[in-house]
Amino acid sequence: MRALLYKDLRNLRRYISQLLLICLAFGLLFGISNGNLSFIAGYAAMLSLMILLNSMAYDEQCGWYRCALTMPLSRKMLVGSKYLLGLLAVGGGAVFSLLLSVIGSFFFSVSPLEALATTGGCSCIALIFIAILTPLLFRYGTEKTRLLMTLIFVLPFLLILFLDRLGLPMPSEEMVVGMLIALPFVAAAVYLLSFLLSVRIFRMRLP
Amino acid sequence: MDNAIRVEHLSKEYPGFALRDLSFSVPRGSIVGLIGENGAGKTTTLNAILGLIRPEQGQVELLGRRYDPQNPEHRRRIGVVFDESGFPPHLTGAAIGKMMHLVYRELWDAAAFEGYCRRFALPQNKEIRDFSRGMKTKLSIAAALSHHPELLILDEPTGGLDPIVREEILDLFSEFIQDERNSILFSTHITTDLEKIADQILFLHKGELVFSRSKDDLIYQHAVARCTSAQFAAIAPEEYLRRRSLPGGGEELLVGDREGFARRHPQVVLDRAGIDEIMLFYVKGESK
Repeated sequence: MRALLYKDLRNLRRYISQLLLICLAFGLLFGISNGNLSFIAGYAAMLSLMILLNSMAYDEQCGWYRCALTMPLSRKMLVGSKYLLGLLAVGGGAVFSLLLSVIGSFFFSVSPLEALATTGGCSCIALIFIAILTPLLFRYGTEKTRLLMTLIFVLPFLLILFLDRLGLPMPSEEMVVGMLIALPFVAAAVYLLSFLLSVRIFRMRLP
Repeated sequence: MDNAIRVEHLSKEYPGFALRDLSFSVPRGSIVGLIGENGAGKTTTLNAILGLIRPEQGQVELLGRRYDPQNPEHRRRIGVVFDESGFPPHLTGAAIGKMMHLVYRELWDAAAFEGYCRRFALPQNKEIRDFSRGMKTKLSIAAALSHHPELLILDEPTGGLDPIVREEILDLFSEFIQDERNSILFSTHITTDLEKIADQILFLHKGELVFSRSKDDLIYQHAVARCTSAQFAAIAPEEYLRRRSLPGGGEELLVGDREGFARRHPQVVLDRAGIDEIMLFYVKGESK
């Protein structure tokens, strides 16, 4: 597993540094300048998805899996390393946005609880997106999944719009808090299920 | 004899192509060349041996045990080189070495890897996306050899390389085979490479094994007989293996018993048959 993580992080080293710089620039622009730190939490979470997507695109492009399956690496390990990379990317994004919140707190009044809740919520949603996308990436490859991704991102907004049109009342504060508390557990369960599904797909695609 | 690879009744079907009932072995201490025209099934055969595709039928033994593609331990003594390197583009030579060390752990010989890289003049700090095709192949070979495998499986490793690089690589394979426990299965359509180093030739045509023969038998016993129509009329069908009619008249025959044929037909011109020509006779020629 260490070998696979090393390979991905080393291969994406330059890309990750570029993402960090972009994140920092947006952080300064939107966050520290007007105190809108929740934007950075969401943006960092979205970029963590891009890290995973890019690592899989590189693997596909260079024929990595064919090569890796001639080495003493199990299929489960190859799939697992992508889920670990996803966790690290989301975790890294969360730490980054929390750090910006700390810096922002010198200039604006930032509620630590709110910063934690926003970052935690965005990270959990990013994990759920990764959990949805990764089996698709293993099944259909990066090109087709990029197209599906647009649909997957748009769907929740359409759903909210649809519910709004139905005239359903907005959830109460207690409900939102309850959802926020449940979110990490839901994300963990979906992530685990997604991993098992990806292993199955990968075994079917490459026996 | 102890075999490094034993394949029995391997079959795999695709729309428009099928690998049919393939059985052969690669004895330990030998270099076996797998030849055939494009689309003959060479890569499919290697993929099936390595468990990268699921054959409908057949079994594979590697290094004396039934190969289980789900068991990574079965791949610890095998080195594989494909025509594409398979390594991520932004890794440097040094990073590949480190990654492979983490994959093979105690089996990895970092000094050997550095030695191969020095020998092949491969830069350690250059990203492999900036490597030439030849450099990528050399790096793949260095990586495949540095955990001291007993079996090398190579899919067109010398394709698209210049003769100097090919010679360097063939020298390395010859050195590898000096240890008589080691073996190589080498798929290629550059048959001159095999004429230099192979012990045995497997010829695949349209997914079927046409022959498995010792290279020396092939080259020294086979010959191309170039005869006129009148000379051809005097030759019995059992005296040759395949024939090709020449556009300007006359016949070319692939002969399997060079000396006997020369004794019986001293007036017919007999030329040496290279592996390329033998292959051509089977692909383009007619049977008797």
